[in-house]
Amino acid sequence: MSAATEVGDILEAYARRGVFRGFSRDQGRGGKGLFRLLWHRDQVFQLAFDNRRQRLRIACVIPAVPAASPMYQDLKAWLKGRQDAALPDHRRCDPDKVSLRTYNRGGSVALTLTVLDDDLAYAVRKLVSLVNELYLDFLSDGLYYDWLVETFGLDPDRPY
Amino acid sequence: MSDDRKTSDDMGLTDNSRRDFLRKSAAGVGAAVAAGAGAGALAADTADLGEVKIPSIRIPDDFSDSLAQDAAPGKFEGRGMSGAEVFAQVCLKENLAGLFCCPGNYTVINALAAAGIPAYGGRSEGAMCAMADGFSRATGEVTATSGTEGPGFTNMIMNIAAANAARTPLLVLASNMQLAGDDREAFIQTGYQQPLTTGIKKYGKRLIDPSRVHEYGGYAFRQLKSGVPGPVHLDFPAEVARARFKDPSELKDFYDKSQYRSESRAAPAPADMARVVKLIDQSRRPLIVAGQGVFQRRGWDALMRVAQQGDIAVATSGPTRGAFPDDHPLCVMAAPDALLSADLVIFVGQYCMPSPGEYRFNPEIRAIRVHPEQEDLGRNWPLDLGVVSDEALFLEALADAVRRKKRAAWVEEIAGAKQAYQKHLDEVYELGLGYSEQTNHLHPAVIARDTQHFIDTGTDDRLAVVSGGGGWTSGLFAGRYLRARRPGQMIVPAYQYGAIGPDMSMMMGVSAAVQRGVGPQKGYEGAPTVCITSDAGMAYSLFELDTAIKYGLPTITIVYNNNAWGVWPNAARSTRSMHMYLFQENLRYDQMAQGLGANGEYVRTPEEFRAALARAYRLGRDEKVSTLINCQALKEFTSPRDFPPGISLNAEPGTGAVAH
Repeated sequence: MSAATEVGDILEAYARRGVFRGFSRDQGRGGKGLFRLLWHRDQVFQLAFDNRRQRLRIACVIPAVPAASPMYQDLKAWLKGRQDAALPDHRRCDPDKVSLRTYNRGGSVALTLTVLDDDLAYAVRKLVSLVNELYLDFLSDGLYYDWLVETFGLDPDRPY
Repeated sequence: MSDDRKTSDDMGLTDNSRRDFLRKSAAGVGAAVAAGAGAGALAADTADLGEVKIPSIRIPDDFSDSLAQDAAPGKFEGRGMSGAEVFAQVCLKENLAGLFCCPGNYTVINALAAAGIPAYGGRSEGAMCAMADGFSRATGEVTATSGTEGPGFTNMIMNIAAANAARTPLLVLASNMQLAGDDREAFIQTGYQQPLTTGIKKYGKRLIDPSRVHEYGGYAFRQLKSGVPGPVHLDFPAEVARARFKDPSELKDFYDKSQYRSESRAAPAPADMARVVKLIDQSRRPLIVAGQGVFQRRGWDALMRVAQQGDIAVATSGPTRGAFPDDHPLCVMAAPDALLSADLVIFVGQYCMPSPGEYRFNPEIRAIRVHPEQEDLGRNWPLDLGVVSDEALFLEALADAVRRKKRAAWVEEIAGAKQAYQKHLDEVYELGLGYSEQTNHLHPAVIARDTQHFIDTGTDDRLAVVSGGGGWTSGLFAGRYLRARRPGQMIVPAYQYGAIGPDMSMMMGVSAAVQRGVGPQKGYEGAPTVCITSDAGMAYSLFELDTAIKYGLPTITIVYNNNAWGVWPNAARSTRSMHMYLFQENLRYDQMAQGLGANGEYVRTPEEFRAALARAYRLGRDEKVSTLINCQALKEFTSPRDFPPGISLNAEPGTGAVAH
């Protein structure tokens, strides 16, 4: 089984369990794979896997966050906190196994996770878990309530 | 606002003689009700308002006399029984816990009251419907609401829908003119009711054959007391309600409830139980979400046994809280971070089912769902195992089957998450205190936290006071700070449906349940209920203070008065829109309450608020008098830009959950 297939199979299992409401895969050449996940706030997340670089990347994990904004700084701090040694193993993103980076292009925040120890399954699961917590935990702060409503066009009476 | 008006308003704050009069008036009425004394004793009470003497607010003798009369249920002998009386007999035998209504549907409500069913008459059908819902949410019992055809019935619609979302076993009754008048547009109030409750009821029927009135009573209670509850709507044309029966043979299917419905419940299959136990054994961090079904089926003792035997965490969900105490070490209601660590969730009696991503769970979590009806298993949330079972029977079986196991790391993680969340709440409270001092207006975090603190430290028994919170800003803050420590100690008025306004009257229905000591409220008779609500909600429920005073239902209503609909930020960047979201500033809901015979308090500082709470509690406990505390606030407290962190969404499931 190719690494891209392995990534796709793990993600598809999440879709079967209702974590993603929609899923598709497009396996490219050279060990690359592109996966579309219909997920939080009814967004389609595009997850790219590059086997040569051992890298998983979501090009826009969260939109409309200017690079110079306090929100972006908070987000980076929150992500760093996910690697804190004080967290229990099942919640921690082990920095010895994966490295985490964010990029900001015109407000679209990309999240990249690089596999450090060949444990691709761990990396995929941690990426899914991180994005999930980003939406359920980081964005639940009252400071971002207006941002949530504006960015995702939510009904303010039904922001959940 | 003109300077004159401000001056006048300020004078009102310090007009002690007027306030004293109103307070004494209210206390007098309340005392009369509590003691069962004729209100005539108060007839001589007058107040001197300037040069004018006016009579005090009082409860009429006829009211008290009527309540003191013995029940007189219908009988076949003599004039015979009316259709309404036959139906009332069904309700009586089914232990209908209460009727909350406005006049209209006269034949039916009079028959129910005469039969001995506790009945309460109020000021608007919508609010009385919410009261019936509140009584049921606090007890799990079937209650009824009634209004006249047309206007009364349609006034109930919002709160029937709220009851439907909460799966309340609510019997909705309404008259419906004469069959003989169908399609003639004869004066007045004609209308087809059943289509109007489509989608917001479990079952409904327009009764058209008088001889089947008993049979349809059976239909109604079979639906109300079987499976997943929900509103049942019956409408009574005059031919049915007024029909006369002199002999049982004139009624079809005139047999006992033991024959028209069953108490049999589905028990879990042994193979399913074995799989449940295996999944729990494999889990390091198991969690039970105990929904409305656990409360309805009174499965809380078995739930406690299961949790403690296996160190299984518990969250509760649904419109009634407290089936598992918030302060138990295994409770994760105030430990939102621990929710994300659970690796197995067992939904038990979760009637309103969320989708993955709506609950604060991690993507790896495995899911079991226990539900009394097979066809609902797998809806919204894909399952590792679905179990058809009555909730209480499942928990009892699981308590016997689950292996005794210590999960110390899980318990420790829950404790840490609780501590972290409490630290966050304390920080927000400190911010709120600062904002209150800075602005001389009460911040919602202060209102919510100090209310719970008063329940815990300022009342005779912290388990006795039932609380509930509604409104947008006020509700979100109340949810975070209010706590439930025993079954039925907290109500979530906005649950699922999100109605703003019925909360105040809903909590009066809860008060009726507490005063009578029904179900889990037994032992707490006499305690007032507490409702944190909003100024926006006042328009829907305020007048029912008259009802609460009349019937001696002590409620403490805390109004977060921010001069606006809490959703005003939606107009902040929209041209010519803001005016639609704003009220006059500094409205005096406390004075309106006084005008209705209740005690009214006006507060702007934490100190004033705490003192008002203490007075309100004493009045409620000792004299059955309700209080409204008008907490003057600022709409800008909602905004994170003006007063960070502003409002924030509460974790689901959790103490402030309202969606599922």
